[in-house]
Amino acid sequence: MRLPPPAPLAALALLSALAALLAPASAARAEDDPAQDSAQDPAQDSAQDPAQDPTQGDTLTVTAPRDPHDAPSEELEGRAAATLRDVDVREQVARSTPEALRGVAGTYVQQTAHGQASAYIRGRTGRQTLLMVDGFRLNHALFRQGPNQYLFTIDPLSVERLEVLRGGASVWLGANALSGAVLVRSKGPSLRAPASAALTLLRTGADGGLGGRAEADLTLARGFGLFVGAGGVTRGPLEASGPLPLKPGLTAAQRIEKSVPRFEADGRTQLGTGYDALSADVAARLQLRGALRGEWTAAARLFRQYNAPRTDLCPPSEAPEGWCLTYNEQFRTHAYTRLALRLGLALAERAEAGVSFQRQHERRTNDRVHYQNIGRDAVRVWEARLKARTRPLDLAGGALRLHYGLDGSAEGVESKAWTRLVRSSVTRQDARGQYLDDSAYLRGEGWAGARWRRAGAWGAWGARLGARLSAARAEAPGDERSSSRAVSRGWAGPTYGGGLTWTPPVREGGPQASPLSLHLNVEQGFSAPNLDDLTARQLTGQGYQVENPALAPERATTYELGARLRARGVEAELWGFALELRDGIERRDAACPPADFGCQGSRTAPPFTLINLPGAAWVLGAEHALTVRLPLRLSLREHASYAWGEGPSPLPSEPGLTRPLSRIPPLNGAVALRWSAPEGALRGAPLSGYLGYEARWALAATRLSFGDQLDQRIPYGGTPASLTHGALFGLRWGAHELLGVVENLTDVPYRTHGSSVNGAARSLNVSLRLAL
Amino acid sequence: MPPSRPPRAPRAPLSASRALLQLTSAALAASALTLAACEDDDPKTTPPAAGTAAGADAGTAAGTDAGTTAGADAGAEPPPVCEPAPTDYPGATWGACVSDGGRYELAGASTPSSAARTAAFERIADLLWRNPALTAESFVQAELIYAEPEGLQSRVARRYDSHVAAPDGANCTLPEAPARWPEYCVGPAAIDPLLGAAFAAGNQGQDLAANAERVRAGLLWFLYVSVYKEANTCATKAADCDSSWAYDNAGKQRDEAPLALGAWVQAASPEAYDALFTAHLAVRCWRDLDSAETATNMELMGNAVAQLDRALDGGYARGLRAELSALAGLTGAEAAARRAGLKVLGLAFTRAQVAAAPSTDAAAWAAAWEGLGAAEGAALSAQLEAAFPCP
Repeated sequence: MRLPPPAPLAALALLSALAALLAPASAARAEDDPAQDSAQDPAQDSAQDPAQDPTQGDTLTVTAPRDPHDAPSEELEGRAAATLRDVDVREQVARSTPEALRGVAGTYVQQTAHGQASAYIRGRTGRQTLLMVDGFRLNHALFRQGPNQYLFTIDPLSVERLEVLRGGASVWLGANALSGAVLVRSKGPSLRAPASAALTLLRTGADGGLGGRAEADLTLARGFGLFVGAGGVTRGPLEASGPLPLKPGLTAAQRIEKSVPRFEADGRTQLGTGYDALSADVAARLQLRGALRGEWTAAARLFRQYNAPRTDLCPPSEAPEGWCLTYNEQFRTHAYTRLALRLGLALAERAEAGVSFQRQHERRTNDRVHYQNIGRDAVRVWEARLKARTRPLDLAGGALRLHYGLDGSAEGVESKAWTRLVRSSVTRQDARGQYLDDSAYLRGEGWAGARWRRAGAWGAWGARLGARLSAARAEAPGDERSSSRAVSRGWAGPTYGGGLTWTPPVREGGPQASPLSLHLNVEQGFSAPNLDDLTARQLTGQGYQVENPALAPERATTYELGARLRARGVEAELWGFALELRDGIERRDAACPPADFGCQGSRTAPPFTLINLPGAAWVLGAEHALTVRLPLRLSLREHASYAWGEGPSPLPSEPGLTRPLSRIPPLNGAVALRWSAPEGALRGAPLSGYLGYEARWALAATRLSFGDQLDQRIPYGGTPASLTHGALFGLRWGAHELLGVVENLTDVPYRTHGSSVNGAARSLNVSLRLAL
Repeated sequence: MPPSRPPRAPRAPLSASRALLQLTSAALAASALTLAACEDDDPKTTPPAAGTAAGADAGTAAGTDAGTTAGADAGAEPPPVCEPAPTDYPGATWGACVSDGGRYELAGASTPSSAARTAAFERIADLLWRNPALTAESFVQAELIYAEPEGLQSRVARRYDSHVAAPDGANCTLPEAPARWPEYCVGPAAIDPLLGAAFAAGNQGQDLAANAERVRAGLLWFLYVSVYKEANTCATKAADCDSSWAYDNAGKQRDEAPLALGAWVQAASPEAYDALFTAHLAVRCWRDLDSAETATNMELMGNAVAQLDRALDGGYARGLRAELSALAGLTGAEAAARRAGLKVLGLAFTRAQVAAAPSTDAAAWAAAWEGLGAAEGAALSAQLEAAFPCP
């Protein structure tokens, strides 16, 4: 199946912006309050939304957002969730979007390379989690088990807000949200001022990183704005504090076998690190008044990453030092347009429709000096979404609102590979690429849900109930030369979910809203096998993956219980959860296809394939977060997370036995103490600052799955425990800011479980933002 | 490649705001350039030369197996009186072990990946020295097999010779290894450059038959070194015993037809191959009796590895003698080609020759192989027979 190239939609988006410029009569007056007539009602939503976390950054003030774009996603309501705003990302001087999530409870960031990372949510990642950007899926048909590069293709400085929803969420968000979702909202026109601009410069010490981003937010007409931004970064070799301390008693062979990463002669500079990246985005926003009230948005966003080596294969264990697998190009192109209308109809008080095109492209070279293996893969994704909600209905003394929607996507895959004989300047195309060229993937989903709220003598109650039907179809041509079987399969399945929130009644004379709320959620998730599972042959960190065209969908049910306290100066939450994973996909040893000599020669024999576990697997865990305002302008933030995963052994030789699930993070957490300086003024502009200390810790990860034991990135016996310390500082003058972090103060070697790359050495990272 | 930065604006006194605006504009211009940051073109494939359609099966029907024919008359010689060493397996000094059934039982979980590399030798053979219609394209196809990910070249490039004591700090994965430790890092220092040069010349259509023989000899050299190396590293990784066995014969049992090095030895002397297989059983037996993660019974290891070393050298010597015998019957280009391969095979064996006959000199052996002509074959064969009388 062939899908058209991206140019038409990008052009459409830009032309639409121009057309809007020529039609100012339909635009709103700039001084109108956008919240009043926007397609959402943020004040109402945010007041009910305990997931919004205003304590991030340097304020503890709860404020209802004025602009609907500032409102949290409604899917977070009543759920275990956290929100990071752009200022939080800048304060961390985060090297990447995944890195910015390190401080979120229940989230653990694994880094396969300096230029690749993915977030584990409640112990799961890859296509068991859902990533969305501006309401459209980042997940596509080639998402890997550990999709290390995908969230990395979002410039952290282009992000307005990052929301992490923990637990199943397929009913409200869609397929793949088995253990959680990351919702990215990009920066866009704010329509707040005629024009503003900002320039942010970054410097990170351990990798000599130098980057920046410029952006302009322009209100070009009443109710119409344009946002343009561009940035780039170049990073050199990443210095760590040396190799990890290894388990005593290892043989020389064992030491060599898992010598990931490799170091330069100084013992600190990690081979296979460093990369360059560019990003650019343009977004238009038009508020509609008159007969059609609502908002139209269109955007095009690009990310271009160059020459990012795969750290664990630069070089592979035991291979000559000059050998390296490098992602020469890791590109993401995303264009979309969305129309949100306030129709006022009983069945469709508000409705929203959107169309998106995304192309994910990668080109990689496995350079072995005299030989090169070159691969190019791309997936084109067309996606359409429609959702609406009814007017509130009276039910049992409360207000009931129905939500419903449809969404679907069509994806086409290009995949080719070549071998180059460097000495002879001869290049030949291989029998197949990493995937099967010209594969296609279709997905269609429909959903409906209800939200009900009631306040009374027994306190305030909120209930949520919903169902979704998901269907997917995969088509891939066979290839006889490589013994690749054709795939023509389809799946469909329902998911259900619901939740209950209770806020105790308020005593007379007490606060207007009870500071405590209790939450009970049961949410299901659904994830059909994708083209990576069904057709991919690739060398991964856990060995050589052989396709399994017979996989069945994974299904999950999250049971969670939570309590949230939001009182003056204190915010706390505690969640316990159980995730039941049925037909969970895990790795198992496999036979190589007869014609795949690369597989047969793989040193990490036996090669593995993905299989559905024969019974239910479970992930059990808990997480908590605490923010306290202390005397002397001090504040304390702390969180900890734990997950335990166990499932049927994937090995046929172990019937009836269980094994740990792959790469479940160890017990981990962080604590930060911060002092905010008294606010002052300089030349008429407010002046503020802060100083802080933070510690991140993780216990040793010793519960290893079959795949983990093969994984060269995980040392024998597991990943050692770690404790790192850091210092934070910031100075703000008006809209300008100078923010910094001194990471790894004690300069200790450490690694997050499952990563190829060790954490950065002691270094100073600084962000300077100049704004108009 | 990333686009270059836009040119700087001319310097002029500016307010901070204007400067910021200019910086922003420059960055926005960069954004426009980024929009044009296109994907790189796909590599241009190199088409096969016209009329050179020799493929993997080109030589399978009518090909002549040089190794096999070379050994045709080797079995005619009278068997020497050879007794096994008192420490050899099977014998009184050995306890009952997994090898006693006469089959090689895997120490690891599955057939080692080295079996696929050894089998690749035969795929290359079909394209080159067993191919009667040898062309430059045959070399391209053969080199593609040699270069397969995790294939032969991936191991040749880091192979060290366990016969040579490891120099202090030696690490054959370092770029400077070939120059610093040429004897120890025999793969990157000698075998890989030899094979690379032979493939490159063959790809250019130069001296096809001779380069095919050089490839054959280089790969046999690699397999010979690998069998011994893997038996030694089996002390710390038991599955390497399987690799040692698989580098010899691609993981075949005694009653199955071996591939590659094993086939070469068997064609020259079935007894020598039999002794070699028994030596693999000895190595496996040692690791069965000494099954800790790291071997502790160094005496038993020494016996097993020594038995393997003797059998390997004995078999290799028989192979060389068979080659020399075959060379005597060849003339012209065929003889020249065979001589090119024999020089490589002989030079690879000088260490063993000196070890077996300490009174001899490595330089003299090397000179003899380098100067191998029609007349020297018989003398060399006799010297080999004297140095390695037993299989």
